[in-house]
Amino acid sequence: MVVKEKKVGDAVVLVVDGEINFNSSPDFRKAFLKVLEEKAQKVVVNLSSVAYVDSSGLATLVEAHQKVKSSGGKLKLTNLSAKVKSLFEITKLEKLFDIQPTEDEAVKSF
Amino acid sequence: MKELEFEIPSDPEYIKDASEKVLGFLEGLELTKEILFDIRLCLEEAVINAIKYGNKLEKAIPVSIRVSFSEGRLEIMVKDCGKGFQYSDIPDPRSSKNILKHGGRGLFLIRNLMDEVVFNDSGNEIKMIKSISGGKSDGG
Repeated sequence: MVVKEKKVGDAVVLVVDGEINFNSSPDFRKAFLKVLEEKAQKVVVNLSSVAYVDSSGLATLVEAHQKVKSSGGKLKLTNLSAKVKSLFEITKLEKLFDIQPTEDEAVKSF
Repeated sequence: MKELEFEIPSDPEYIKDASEKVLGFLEGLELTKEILFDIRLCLEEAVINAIKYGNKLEKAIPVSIRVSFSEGRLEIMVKDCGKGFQYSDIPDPRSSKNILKHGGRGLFLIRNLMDEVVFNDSGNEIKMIKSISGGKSDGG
């Protein structure tokens, strides 16, 4: 899994490529902790190239959401595949996260 | 009846090997990508639980996996060498007091994505059953 960070306006977008699973979620965690150190307040996680997320991945996204929130910022998810989105629906995490269809819409919705 | 049985060490590096072996075994059944996603996720969640909680990440202790497919019925068994756990006491990860917790979603996902989930009495063996319609059955 590779996480690329880019700035779009005053938002930080993390573009994840690969799976967020038991073995790779620590790498995703490192990426969002780095963004938090940079005091980012508007964070978008683009999951367009993430075909697989397991319960460890969901837990790490919850942690990212909470850490960004507790530092006064907001985190949004975007471009979820139908299957990944279904996991958020089953676990009711869709109610916790702000899930936007596209990166552009996510950035504009802050 | 098609059957596959193997063991992996209790090392997270082998999680993907296990699911690749199982998905390879199911090749030819013309299952949809969605069903293959569910099967992979449930298998990997069960294997992670077995490695982490059952065998306490002791690499030398094996996790046993058995898969069988017959007449549209897929059965996946994952067994560890641990003491088992109280599988009936798993809290609902969707509730407001649990939604932010780190753990508890793996087994919940398995229960939602499989048709039937059965534990042995001691709780160190999980059997996951999924009926597969539309796939190409081997006819038993």
